[in-house]
Amino acid sequence: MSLRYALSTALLLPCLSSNVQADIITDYATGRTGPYLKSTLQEICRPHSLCQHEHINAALCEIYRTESGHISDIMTGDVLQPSNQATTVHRLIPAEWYAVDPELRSATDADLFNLCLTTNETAEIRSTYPLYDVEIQSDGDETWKFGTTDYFGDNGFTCLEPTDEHKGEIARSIFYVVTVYPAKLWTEWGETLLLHNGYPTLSEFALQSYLKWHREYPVTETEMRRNDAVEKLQGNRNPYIDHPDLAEHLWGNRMDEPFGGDGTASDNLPLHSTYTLTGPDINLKSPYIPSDARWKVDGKSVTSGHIRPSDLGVGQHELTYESLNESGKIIITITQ
Amino acid sequence: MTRQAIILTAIIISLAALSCKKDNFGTREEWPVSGTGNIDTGWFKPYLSQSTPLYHDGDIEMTYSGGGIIHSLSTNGNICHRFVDLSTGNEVTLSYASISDKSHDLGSPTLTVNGTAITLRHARLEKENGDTRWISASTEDKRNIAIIVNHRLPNQ
Repeated sequence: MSLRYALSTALLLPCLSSNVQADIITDYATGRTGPYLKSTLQEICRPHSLCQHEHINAALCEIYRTESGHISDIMTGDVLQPSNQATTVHRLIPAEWYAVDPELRSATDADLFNLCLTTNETAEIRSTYPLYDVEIQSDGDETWKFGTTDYFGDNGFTCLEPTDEHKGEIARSIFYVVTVYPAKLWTEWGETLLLHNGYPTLSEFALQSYLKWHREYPVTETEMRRNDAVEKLQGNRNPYIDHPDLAEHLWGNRMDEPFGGDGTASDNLPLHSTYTLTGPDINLKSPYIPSDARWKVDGKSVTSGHIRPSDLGVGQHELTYESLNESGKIIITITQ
Repeated sequence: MTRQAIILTAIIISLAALSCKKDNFGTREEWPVSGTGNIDTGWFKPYLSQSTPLYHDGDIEMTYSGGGIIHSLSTNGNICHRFVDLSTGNEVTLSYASISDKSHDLGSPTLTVNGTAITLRHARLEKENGDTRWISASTEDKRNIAIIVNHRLPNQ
């Protein structure tokens, strides 16, 4: 199935409010960790449609247009003027890194979260080298650098370090690309930064820079507006902008914690497998269960939509439900 | 022992060895060639002693032991059993139209694993006891699937 559709069709997509996908992530990702969390995001965060190539430049101009009407170059921090400047569409994760899967190459070549506008000169300098922290600078200026890193052997490797202002945004875009489009085989510089697997996909080496960028340069209002703009064009959002803590759960300092389980993601979490005695309430709802379900907890009918774990106590509890066309059962565990 | 007796004994031993089938879950070296009624589901015997709902296909195993499994029954025309593991997002649905009184084969069985339809070589009711059904199935790539469901879920 072709992943490319006309931009005009994309523009007709219903404009989903930013809370819709945020809620989808909370509904489906809550309680999940590691590979299961990442595969859930891969499933629910895909674009609904992709721009045709002839429309990508115009779409990026809309996404990266500043309030002053100029176009923002997230690689260098410069302002672009496409009308009298040679600019080009540039890929954060180059299509050339995808070794054997033409569909992934094609999708990442058109997914607006993987694309930006930059000058022809910058694109030529970066080529398909990794985006990473430069130690020894050979080109660029005060805001962006091209050179080599001191990691990866004695000589390091060639890379481009984008401007500080956009490092966080670029890191979150890379998180999105490796989540929605993980390759079974990477080539070129992809082999240096990425792993041939569904999880974690980002190597320890890659995470040294990208998690640092993600933490030091948190989500800005401009980035959120761009997330809204991409959603209008291709129907999906970057989950790492709406839920920055997802990156910590997948690769950072909360890797062992299930996403959302502590109630920070929402105070209205769907049913999940494990609760703590003093943690958030058990809400009798799930995206997998009809909303008209009538519930019994440990055999007793309940009318309230939520229950305090302390009212049930530590141990396993049986929740059963019945709706017009379906009945079912779920066992939850409450721990200290 | 005569030479003929030795040869005969050797032939018997060889035939006995060849007739032994590996019944390890998920692998089978030899399969019947015709008719679902001829399919050997001896591998399923250990599951007959269990009554807790489960789904097991060699790759995915879902039981209540880890908590957070939704196990549901839907009867929109076809009978439909569903397992959802809330911790992993794994979702399996088995639906079928009927069960043959004679062969116990499930009619028009459809298995969907994580959104992908799996073609079944056979699906058969191995045992039924009250509200619980024990169903064996196998895929065209020779994987065995064990499914135990509560036809009417308890405490309803």
